[in-house]
Amino acid sequence: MMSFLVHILVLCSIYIILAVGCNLILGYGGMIQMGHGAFFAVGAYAAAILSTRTSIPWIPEVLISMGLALVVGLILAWSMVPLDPDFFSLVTFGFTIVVVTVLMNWTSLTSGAAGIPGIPGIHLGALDITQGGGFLLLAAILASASMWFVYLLVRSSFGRALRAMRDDDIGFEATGRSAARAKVYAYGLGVMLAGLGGNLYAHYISYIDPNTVGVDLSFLVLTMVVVGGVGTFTGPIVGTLLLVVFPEMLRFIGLPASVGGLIRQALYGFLLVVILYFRPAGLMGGLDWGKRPRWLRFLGPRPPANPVGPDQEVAP
Amino acid sequence: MSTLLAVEHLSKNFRGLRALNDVTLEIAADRVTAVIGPNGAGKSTFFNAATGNIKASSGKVFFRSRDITNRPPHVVAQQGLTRSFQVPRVFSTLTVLENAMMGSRHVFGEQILQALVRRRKMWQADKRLRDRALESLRQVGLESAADRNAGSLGYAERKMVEIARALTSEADLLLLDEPFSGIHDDVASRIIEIIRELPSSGRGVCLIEHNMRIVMSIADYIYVLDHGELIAQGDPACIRHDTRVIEAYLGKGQSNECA
Amino acid sequence: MIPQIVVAGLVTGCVYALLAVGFSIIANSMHFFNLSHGGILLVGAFLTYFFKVKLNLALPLAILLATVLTTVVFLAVASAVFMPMRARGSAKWNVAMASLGVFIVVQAAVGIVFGTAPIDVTGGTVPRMFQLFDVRISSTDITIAVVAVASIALFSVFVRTTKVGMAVRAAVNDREIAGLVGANVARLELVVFGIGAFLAALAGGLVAMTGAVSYTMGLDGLLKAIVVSILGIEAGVLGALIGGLALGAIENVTMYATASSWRDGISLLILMAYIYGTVYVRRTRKNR
Repeated sequence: MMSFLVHILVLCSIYIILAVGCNLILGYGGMIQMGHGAFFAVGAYAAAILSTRTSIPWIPEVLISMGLALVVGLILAWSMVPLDPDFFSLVTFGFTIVVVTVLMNWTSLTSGAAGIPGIPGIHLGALDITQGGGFLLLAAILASASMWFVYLLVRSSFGRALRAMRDDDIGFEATGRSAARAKVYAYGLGVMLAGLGGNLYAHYISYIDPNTVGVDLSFLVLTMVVVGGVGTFTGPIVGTLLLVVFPEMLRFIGLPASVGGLIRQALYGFLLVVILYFRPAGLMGGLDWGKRPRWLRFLGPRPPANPVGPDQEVAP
Repeated sequence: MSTLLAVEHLSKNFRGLRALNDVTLEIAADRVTAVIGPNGAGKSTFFNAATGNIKASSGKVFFRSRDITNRPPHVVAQQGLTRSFQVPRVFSTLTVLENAMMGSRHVFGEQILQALVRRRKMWQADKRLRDRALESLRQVGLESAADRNAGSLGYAERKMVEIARALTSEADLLLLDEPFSGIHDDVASRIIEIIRELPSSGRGVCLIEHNMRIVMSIADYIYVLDHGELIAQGDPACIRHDTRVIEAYLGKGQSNECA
Repeated sequence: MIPQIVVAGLVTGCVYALLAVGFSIIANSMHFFNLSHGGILLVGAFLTYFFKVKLNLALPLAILLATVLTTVVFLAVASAVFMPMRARGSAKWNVAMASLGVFIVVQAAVGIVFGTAPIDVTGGTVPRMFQLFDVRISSTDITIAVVAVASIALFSVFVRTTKVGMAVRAAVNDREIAGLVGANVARLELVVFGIGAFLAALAGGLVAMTGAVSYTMGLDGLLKAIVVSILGIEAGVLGALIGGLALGAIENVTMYATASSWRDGISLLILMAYIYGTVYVRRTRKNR
C-alpha cells in the first residue's frame, strides 16, 4: 500500500512539472499547446540514450534533456509564431507526430518501436536513487522547483507582459513589445520543463517507447491544465492531482488492465468537455482572488475570465 | 522645429476604396498638431498606417528621419512613437497601476534572467517604474484607482489609463486617437492641460479629434483630411475660415483659402 | 511501377479528400476546428464493420446505415455541446478543445467496445481486379474513388444551386453578413456540420471497405484532415480535394521509396513545409 502511494506521488510530481510548463504556454502565453508530449519525448529519450550508452552523470544529463527541449522549442516556436494562432496549435500537434515518427524510425538511435529498456536509476554522487522514497524526494523537490520557477516568471515584469498580451495583443504591441518574441520565450521555457519531466520519467519507469510519449500525453497534460484552471497558479496542481489520482483509484475496482487505461482516457476526455462547457476557467479559475487575504496573494495574479484569448478581434 | 514624424505621399487602398490618397505631412516636437476632418476622412487610417497597424499601399513614413514604413507596430513603438486607440485598449486583468507600468521600455531576455536570478535588481527597477507610473496616474487623476482591476473601469477612465501609459513611456511623440470623445468637460480639461504641457517637455503630440472647440483651443497646427486627401493645413485661426474646410464639413459657400 | 503506386495513393487520397473537405467546410464557415472529426471517421468505420460483420448486412447498406447513424449521433453531440458553447460566445479554442475531449471519449469508447486490436472487415473476400494500362486496380478502389468524387461533386452542386446550399455558401464565406441578411445562422451551422460529419463518416465506411479497422484510425484521420484542410482553407473545396489526392499520392510514393513507417512523418513534413511557405508568402503580400 505504501509503495503504491509513493508511486502515485512520484507520478503526480512528474506530471506537475509537465502541467506547470504547459500552463505557462497555454495560460500565460495564450498558445494552445498540443505539442507538450513531443518535448517530453525529447527529454525522456535524451535521458534513455545518454544513460544507457554513455557514462554522463545525471546532472549534466538532465541539463542536456532540458537544454535540448528548450532549444528545439525555441526554434519551433520562432518558426510558428507568424502563423495564425489557429495554425500554431495544429502545427504543435503535427510536430508531436513528427517527433514520434522520428523516434519510431531512427532505429540506430532509438531502437524504434522496441523502445529502450533498462534505463538505470539516478545516481547523485554516492546516492543511488532508483525507486521508492528516494526518487519521490527528488521528484518532489524538482516539482517544487518547477512551480517556483514559473512563479518567479509570472511575478515579474515578463509575467506582467504575458498577462497583458493575453488581455489585448494589439494594445500590447502598441507598447513596443513584440508578442511573437514573448510567445517564443514562454514556449521555450514551458517545454524545457517538459524535457525535465521526460528525463525523470525515463529514469523512473526505466523503459520508454515511442507510443507512451506522444500524442496521448499532449492531450493528457492539456486536459490537466484546462481542468485545473488555465492561467492560474494552483490550477495545474489541482488538475494533475485530479487526473492522476482519481484514475489510479479505479484500479481498486478491479477492472482488467487493458480496459482500465481506456476508461481513464474516456474519463479525462469527458472531464475536458464538462469543464469547458460548464466552467471554462477551470476548477481554480472561477475563484475570486480579489477577496483573498494578504498572505494568499503570493499565489499570483488573477486568472483570466475567458481562457486563451478573446473571442473577437477589435480593429484598432 | 524638429520634425518627429514625416509622412510622404502616403496612400492606402482597401480593395478599391481609396482611404488615403497621397498624404504628406509633418508632426513636430514643439507644438500640438491636430488632424481633423469629417467622418470617414481617413484620420484613423492615417494613424494606423503610420504606426504599422495596417500596411500602407504606397508612400513613406519617417520617424526622426528613420524609415519606419510598414514596420510592425511594436518596432514603431520602440522608436519612441506611442499611440492611443479610438476605443481605449486596457489590459483588463491587470491593475490600473500595472497598466500604466506597461508603458515602460523592456528587453524580454533581460527581464527573464533578472526574474530568475537577479530578483533584487528586478525589484529595484520595478520600484522606479512603479513610481513613474504612479506619477502618470496622478497626472491623469487616477492614482486612487491604482490597485483596481482595469477591467472594472468605465470608458472615460480607460481613456485616462491609456494616456497614463503613454506618459509613463516617455515617448517622443504621442498620437492620440479621439482622446476627447465621450468625455465630460471636467475630465476633458485635465487632458487638455496634459496635452498643452507636452511640447514644453520636448515631446510632440498629435491628436485626431472631432470636437472643434477643443481643437481650436489647443492645437498649434492643424491638418484637414477629407475623403482621404489632405485639403488644408495651417494654424487654427486660418483653418477656421478656410473655404475648403468649411465646404468639407458643411457644403459649398464662399471662397477663402489658407495654404 | 510508379503509376501503380501513384494510383493506389490517389485512391487513399480520395478518402483523405473527403475528410479534408468535411473538416474545412466546418472550419471555414464556423471558424471551428472540429477536432472530433477523426472520431467521426472512426465511428463510421466501426459501425460499418458492425453492420456488415455482426449483422451481416450487404456492404453498401452497411456503409449507408453506418454513415447516417454516425452523422445523426454527432449532430446530437454538436447540438448538445458545440452549438450551445458557440451561442454563449465561448472562445473558439475552448470549443475546439471541447471537440478534442469528445474525440478522446469516442476513441476510448470504441476501444472499450470493440477492443484495441485491428479488426478485419472484409472477411477475406478478395475484390475483383481490373487492369488499366500498367495499373491494376480493384473494384474496391474504383468504388472508393467514385463515391468520394461523386459526394464532393454533389456537394459542390448542392451549394451552387439549391437555396439552402447557397445559404451555406454564404455562411462559409462570411457568417456575420449571412446572419444580417436573414439566414438562420444557427440552423445553417448545423447543416454545415451535418454535411461535414456525413462526409467524414462516409470516409470511415469506405476505409472499412478496404480491409481492417483499428481504434487508432481516428487520430490518423484527424491528422490527415487537418493537414489537408489547411490547403482547403487556402483554396476552398477544390483545394481540399486536390490536397487530399496529393497527400495520398505523396505518401504512397514515400512509402515505397523509403521504409514504410517514415510515411506519415515525411508527408507531414512536406505539407508543413508547404504551409510555412504559403503562409509566409501570404504574410508579405497581405494587407494588415
